[in-house]
Amino acid sequence: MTEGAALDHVSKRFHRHVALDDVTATFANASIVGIVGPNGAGKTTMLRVLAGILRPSAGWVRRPFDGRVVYFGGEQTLPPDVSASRWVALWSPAAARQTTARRFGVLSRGTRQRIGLEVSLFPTETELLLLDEPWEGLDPAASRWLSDWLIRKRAGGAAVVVSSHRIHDLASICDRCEFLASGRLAAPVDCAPAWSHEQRVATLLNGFERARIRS
Amino acid sequence: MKPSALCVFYTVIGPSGVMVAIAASLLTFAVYLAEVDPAGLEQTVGIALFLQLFAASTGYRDRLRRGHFDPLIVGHSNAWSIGLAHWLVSAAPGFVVWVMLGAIDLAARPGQTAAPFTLAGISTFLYASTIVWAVSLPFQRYAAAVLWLIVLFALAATQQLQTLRVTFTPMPETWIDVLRSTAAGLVFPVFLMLDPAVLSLRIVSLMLGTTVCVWIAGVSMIRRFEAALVQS
Repeated sequence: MTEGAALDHVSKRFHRHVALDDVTATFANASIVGIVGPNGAGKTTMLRVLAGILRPSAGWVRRPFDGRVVYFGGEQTLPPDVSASRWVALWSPAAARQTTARRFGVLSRGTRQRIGLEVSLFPTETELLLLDEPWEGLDPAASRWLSDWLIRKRAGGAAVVVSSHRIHDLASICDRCEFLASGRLAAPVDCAPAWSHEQRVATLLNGFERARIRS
Repeated sequence: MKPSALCVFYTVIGPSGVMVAIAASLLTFAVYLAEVDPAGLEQTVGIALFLQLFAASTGYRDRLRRGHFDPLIVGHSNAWSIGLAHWLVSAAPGFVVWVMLGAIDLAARPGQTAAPFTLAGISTFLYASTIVWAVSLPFQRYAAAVLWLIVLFALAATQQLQTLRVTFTPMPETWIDVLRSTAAGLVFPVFLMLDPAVLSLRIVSLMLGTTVCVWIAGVSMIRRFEAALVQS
């Protein structure tokens, strides 16, 4: 498998706080990698460094050409005073006609999340898709819709990196999970395709527990 | 399709409905003055400059921290084009009003120079727009305009504004006087509009030079800004 993106001994500090500490990881094309860890472990920082929004304090980031990277940080990153249809029109005027004209600020959390995800999933030429807590706020049908889309993106050759606490959702789609604790990566877990869903969930829960204890 | 920096900024920080309504009222007032008292059109230029202090004070870092510019930053690595687009979206709507006021003035008084179209008018507008834009970058929308008002009130309360007015000479003879007049104009650009037709070219040049320096400083700030995501 070819390498879609990579972090090479990356550290990120905010003043005295170390958010990422010597993180090295590769994200292959046509794969889905889950980033798991307790709150404050550095998952969001890791995705934002990968996206190029944050500059690493040390180390190197390798990612595809800017135009082929898509990042969505969750519904809270959508501007509340902007109309949803105007926002969607920036990417797809056709899709905007089917989107509500109401401001994001007055929409439900789930609706905002769904619209934000739809915009992130529109581009067909995506090589690196980075999603931060994408299942948050989604109902079961929308969660299924998202998982199907991520599998489709993987089939299209994209490297998909997803941070989440939703172990069951991750277990159903991930090829590998990285466990982050206090800004450091623990040993990754490969989810063998032959494993049952229960085996995957148990493995990821074990990994999460080890990361939680470490932090 | 990746949206352009201009489109994203216009969508997120474009002029609010209230600002558009105020601008429309001002233009209506200018048309009315052009009919009944064309000499009174000069006051609309002062009001437009005051409005521009608020309109161009769009802020950057606050929205950056909230993730509102994420799609833009992921798709565009050139901070200079991001800075230029942000400045254009901040300053251009006010510039349209400025030009329309000039056009109304020209139509009402064909033989005279419209203040917005003089060198003094253009340099004052560019400087006022750029300074509030740059000062607002680390803060929220309108922060720079509010800050400027506080400074002006403080200067007025301590009689310093009057001192600045006396210091300002439209056609200074020595370089010392040019620098003093420019400094007064930088603090309170309205001085430059008192008699825009006779303003020294040296003052205009210094104002424009300062504007360019402030713009470069603003874009440099945008290049350096980064912060952990905060919740809206």
